[in-house]
Amino acid sequence: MRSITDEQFRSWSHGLLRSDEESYAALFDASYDALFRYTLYITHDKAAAADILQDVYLKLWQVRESIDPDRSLRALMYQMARNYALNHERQRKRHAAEAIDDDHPSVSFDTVNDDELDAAMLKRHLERWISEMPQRRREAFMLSRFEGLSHEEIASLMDLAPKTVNNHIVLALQHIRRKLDGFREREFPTDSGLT
Amino acid sequence: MNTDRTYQPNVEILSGLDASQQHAIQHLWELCGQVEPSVATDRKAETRAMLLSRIAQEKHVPKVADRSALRLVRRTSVVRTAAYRTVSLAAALVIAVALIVFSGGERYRVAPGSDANLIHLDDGTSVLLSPGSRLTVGNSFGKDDRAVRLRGEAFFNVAKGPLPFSVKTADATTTVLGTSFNVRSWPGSLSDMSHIVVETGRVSVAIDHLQAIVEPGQALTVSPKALTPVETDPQERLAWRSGGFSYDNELIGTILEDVERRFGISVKAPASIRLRPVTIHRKEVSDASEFIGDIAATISVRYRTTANGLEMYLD
Repeated sequence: MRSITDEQFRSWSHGLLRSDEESYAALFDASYDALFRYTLYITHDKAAAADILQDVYLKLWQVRESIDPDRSLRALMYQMARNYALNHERQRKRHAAEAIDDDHPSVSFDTVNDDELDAAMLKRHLERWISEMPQRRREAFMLSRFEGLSHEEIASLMDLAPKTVNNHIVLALQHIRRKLDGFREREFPTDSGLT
Repeated sequence: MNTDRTYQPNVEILSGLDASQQHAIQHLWELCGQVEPSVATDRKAETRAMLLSRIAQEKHVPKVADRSALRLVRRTSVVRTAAYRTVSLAAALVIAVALIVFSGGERYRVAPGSDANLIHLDDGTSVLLSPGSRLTVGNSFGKDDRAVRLRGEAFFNVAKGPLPFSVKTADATTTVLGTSFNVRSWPGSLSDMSHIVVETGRVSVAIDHLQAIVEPGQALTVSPKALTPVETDPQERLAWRSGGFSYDNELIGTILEDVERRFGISVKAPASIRLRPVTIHRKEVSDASEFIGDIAATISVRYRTTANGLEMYLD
């Protein structure tokens, strides 16, 4: 969504106010991927993220007449996605009897010399390290890393102080760094950690 | 991997670090780039098709067309307590009591959980009565006066006439000659003072020792100390007429009572939640849990379904 101009968003807002389907479709096409990723940062569940986005876009159409073109539609959509995703998380946590996450059985390969295997395994580990971070830390970090949002923007979206956003991201990086060092230690005892 | 998104770590993260530390962070940053989530493209296409077909369908249903038919349907569902429907002895007794108390006056009631009802009074005035509300039309209506009694919330579109039209609520009397306005009065509720919103024309609101004129675009909440009209947006304020909810800085407890009446369900919440004010505007609400969910998300509390409705709660 970074690459989309505010002007473009404003024109879609006016389109929505007119109940213009083409604007709605164009907005969907342009914004879906970013919103999907964002929802995923919170839920870490692709099926849930897709469900949530379906609700978000449906809702957006339902409230189209009350959209204020002078306010940021981009921010509104992020906010809607966030509210729905957080609600989903609350319900999920309530219903799940804290089942042990079996999605990531610990890997035990004898040989890890093959470069491709190495990369795939590292990626899987990275995903796991990120997923085990507290939800808000993950959200802040991912928004910064993949959506290129400034700390200010993340702060207003998550209702945090910019300083706290900075802390979240630093802690997230430290967390990954620690895990990575441990991983390299285990897998490549001769390697000297980060290069 | 991310050719179109090569975002760099924010300078704040890098500030105060030496070159090798900055390099290490840059390395981590790039490493993490591998795990950018991909979008479930099949679901995206599915969602897109679903949404667009829904919108197309919506267009085929005439939006405001044929309101008269709609009114007819609504009107038939109005419960006329004074009508003679002796289904059971108990019902007959209730009717007898009603007839005595209101001396033949007509009573309209809309059951909680049903649609708002449009009532046409004999003088040409129409009244949109909200769920759970009760309207009593006096015996002398149209002869000596045009007086009705309201418990609940209703929007009045008063036909012009020689007799003043008045709405009596527990704490006030609202009088007009011909105009459209909304009266809300839920005695015993959290916000139980009568609340009057004027859309067109002019309205006089009176309590036993005070009186005030409320102009179009103004609202007034009755208080025994003062009657002070304030500017408002009637369209937004009266969202209930089209199935919406709209509140400015309203106690959540009051909102929950409206939701209960509108959907005919019970919504529980502890006082710590009920006494919090919230501002929320929704043009159309078709699902109670969705709306409660929105409120819950706004104030960061949880909600769940119960046997007979919903519950908001703190962790």
